[in-house]
Amino acid sequence: MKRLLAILTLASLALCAGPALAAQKFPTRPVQVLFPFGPSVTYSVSQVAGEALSQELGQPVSVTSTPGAGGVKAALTVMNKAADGYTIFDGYVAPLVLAPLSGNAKYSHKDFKPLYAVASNAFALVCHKDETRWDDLPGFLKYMKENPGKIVYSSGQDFTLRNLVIVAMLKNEGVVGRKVTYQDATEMKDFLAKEFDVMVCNSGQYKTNKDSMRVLAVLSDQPSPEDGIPGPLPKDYGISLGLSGLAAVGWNWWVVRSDTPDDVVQVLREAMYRGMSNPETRKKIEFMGFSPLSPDTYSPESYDRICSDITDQLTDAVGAIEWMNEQVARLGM
Amino acid sequence: MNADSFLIAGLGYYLTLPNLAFTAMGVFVGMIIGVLPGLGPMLAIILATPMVMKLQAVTAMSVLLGVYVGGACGGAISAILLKIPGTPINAATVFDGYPMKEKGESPRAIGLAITASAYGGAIGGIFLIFCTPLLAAVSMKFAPAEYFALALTGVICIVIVSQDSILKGSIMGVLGLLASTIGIDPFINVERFTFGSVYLMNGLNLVATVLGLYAMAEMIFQVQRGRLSDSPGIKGFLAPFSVLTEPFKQWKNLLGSSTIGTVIGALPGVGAVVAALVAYSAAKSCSSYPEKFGTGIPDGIIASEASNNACVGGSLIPTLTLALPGTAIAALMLAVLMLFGFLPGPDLFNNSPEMVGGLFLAYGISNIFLLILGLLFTPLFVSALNMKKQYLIPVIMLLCVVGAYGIETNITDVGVMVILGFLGYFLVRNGYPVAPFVLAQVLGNIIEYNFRRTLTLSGNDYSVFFTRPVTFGILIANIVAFTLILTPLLPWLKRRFFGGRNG
Repeated sequence: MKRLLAILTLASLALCAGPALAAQKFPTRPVQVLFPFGPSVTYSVSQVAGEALSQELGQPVSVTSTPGAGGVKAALTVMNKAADGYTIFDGYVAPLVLAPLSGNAKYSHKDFKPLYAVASNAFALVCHKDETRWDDLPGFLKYMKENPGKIVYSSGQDFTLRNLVIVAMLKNEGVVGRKVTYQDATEMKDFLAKEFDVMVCNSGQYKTNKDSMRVLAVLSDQPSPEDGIPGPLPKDYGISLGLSGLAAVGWNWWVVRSDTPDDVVQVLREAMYRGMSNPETRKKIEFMGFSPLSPDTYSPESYDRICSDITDQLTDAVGAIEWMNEQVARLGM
Repeated sequence: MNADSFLIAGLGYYLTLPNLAFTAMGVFVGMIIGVLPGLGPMLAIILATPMVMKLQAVTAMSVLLGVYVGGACGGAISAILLKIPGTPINAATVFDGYPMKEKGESPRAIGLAITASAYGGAIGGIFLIFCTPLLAAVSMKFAPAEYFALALTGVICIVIVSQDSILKGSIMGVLGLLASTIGIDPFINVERFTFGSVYLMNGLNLVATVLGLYAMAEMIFQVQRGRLSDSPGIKGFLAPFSVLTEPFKQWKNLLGSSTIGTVIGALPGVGAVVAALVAYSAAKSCSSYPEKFGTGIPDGIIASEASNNACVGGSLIPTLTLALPGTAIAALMLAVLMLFGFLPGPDLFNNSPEMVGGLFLAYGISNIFLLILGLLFTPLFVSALNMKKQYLIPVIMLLCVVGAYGIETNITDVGVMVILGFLGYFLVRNGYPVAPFVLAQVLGNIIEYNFRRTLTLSGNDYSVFFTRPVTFGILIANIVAFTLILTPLLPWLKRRFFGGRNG
């Protein structure tokens, strides 16, 4: 009898606790952000944003590095998780916009519900500090034209924005170079050891080794922010980059699965808005050489318009990769 | 500034009671996490990062360095007691660690792993403090061609560590090399052997592979052997005092392995798995009793553990001097350092000498804490794993599932671990060692990518392998080593191919 009473008591307690648990506000446990690449300076930026979101949500926010397939693995992992708002995809332009363009992913940016954009960072074309074969960007392009296939450059994997920006410019100028592919820190090491001629680097790479490099151009059509990479823009020399606005720079937009409940998304959006508006957060991101993106300009409402515009611009630029590969193969290199 | 001035600047900055306490806590947590199969220092650092961000920069970095140092050693304990490397970097410790346990020398083996780790780490620390510019310069001399040649040396080491059967070890090594090709080819953006699977786009996860081939396979063996109500029967819990001096008696092995660990650690992208393997192979090759390696002698543990902990110090060299992280964990540390507003690279040494000195000290003191806490808690670790098999096996299995899932919170990693577990069981049962597979999987990408990079850089000119002195030197050494390995096989080859025909 006692046993029966105990069971009944437990059952009634469970019945009372059920609705109470359901009514609890999101989030009731830690939130995870899937960062689509290996740990790097860029990872630190996402950690800063994660920290800001954590403070607003009152729950820990961990940023997990899930590298693979140019970020596609992380995107698909998020899509395979529950649409409960506890898993956020750190949507970098490569997996979010470029991978669908390259045929590496069957989703598009429309398959995610946007929160807010975090930061952008322009890339710079840099050569060695003591390089004597050219003085500036026009000189470099002239050298490439006179020596087809001689210059070796590093700009990451094929379908990354870092590569697309430089290849688009080189194709516009009709010059050919050989790309050496790296995935880790050995890239900067080999550049510093002068194993190759030029590289396209991000703000973090520039900031940590700026004394060993000379900026030929910041690959953007917008002036660099105060803490960004200082240097001339291609347009200063009358050279077209072929891309404009956010299409030419790296950026990340935090997104969740498209079928995530609206009330959960709203909680995340409000928290992220406050977090990204916090001057402290913005200062930390700027310190790393990245530009924090304004949550007022890069709002959830503007997500589709901005991503669609970038998709259109990059669709044209993707052909440049194939063009470059063909040219190099033709030279037998 | 020289090393002394960094240390002096760091003294006041780091040497406070809370910092020391946090360092000790980091080492202890690292050891515990390292002992648990699958939960390596990487996971511990990811989880600890948000927590330590509330602390002062040097305190936070001390905790993380402590976790890194403790974790690199903790994995040796499960390698010795359970034949399961707690982290992939302890794979070479299994060779002699587990046979020592089988001989009833568990506390001695664990004690040796701890002292060798601490001494190796301390030697790595001395290199870090006094030879940073030199090692950074050596690291710069290693271009893709040299990485390729060095990774080939690693392949030869696979043959050396293939205990009983060179042929079966080599087969496993080749399979490991093939497994390393799974995933998206980063050079030309083409999927290789992924069969449309998203999971395989980044290849087989190393931690899931190690957990499957070692931990799961071993648990299946344990279940098959029966007598589940028996405990492992570990006798004695206290490490003998002799373990404090034993590594010094093998000072050549200790110094050599620590140097190998530091130098390989200083080369970004190689890592402690390779360092431990190369050090073990070098110790075996230079020993006057190579045939005893793998039978449970201290030499193997000392080589493997001294080198993988020295590798921690080595990996900090390019991380701090050039902002080039040598390992994924070093990359995380670099990220945290930046979150605190310190920009690694040459500027760090000029602008924040107190931070550099603080990190040097934190690393050195972590190794002292490792020695003290490790030996103090050896009885705890041994007794915790001395439970009845019917309890131990489910606990280990649960930890493996958590460890495999925790890497990327991906359930497929658990599936891969289970499949490889059964595969590992059948392989080991038929005398095929699993270590060569794991090591070749690590080496495969280093060999392939650097070979291709070398040819891109040279414009498809193969002569680059003979015109670069360091590459050429390593390749010649490889050929000599390979010939020496094959020499004992010559009579067998003669019998196999000519004897049969004649007879």
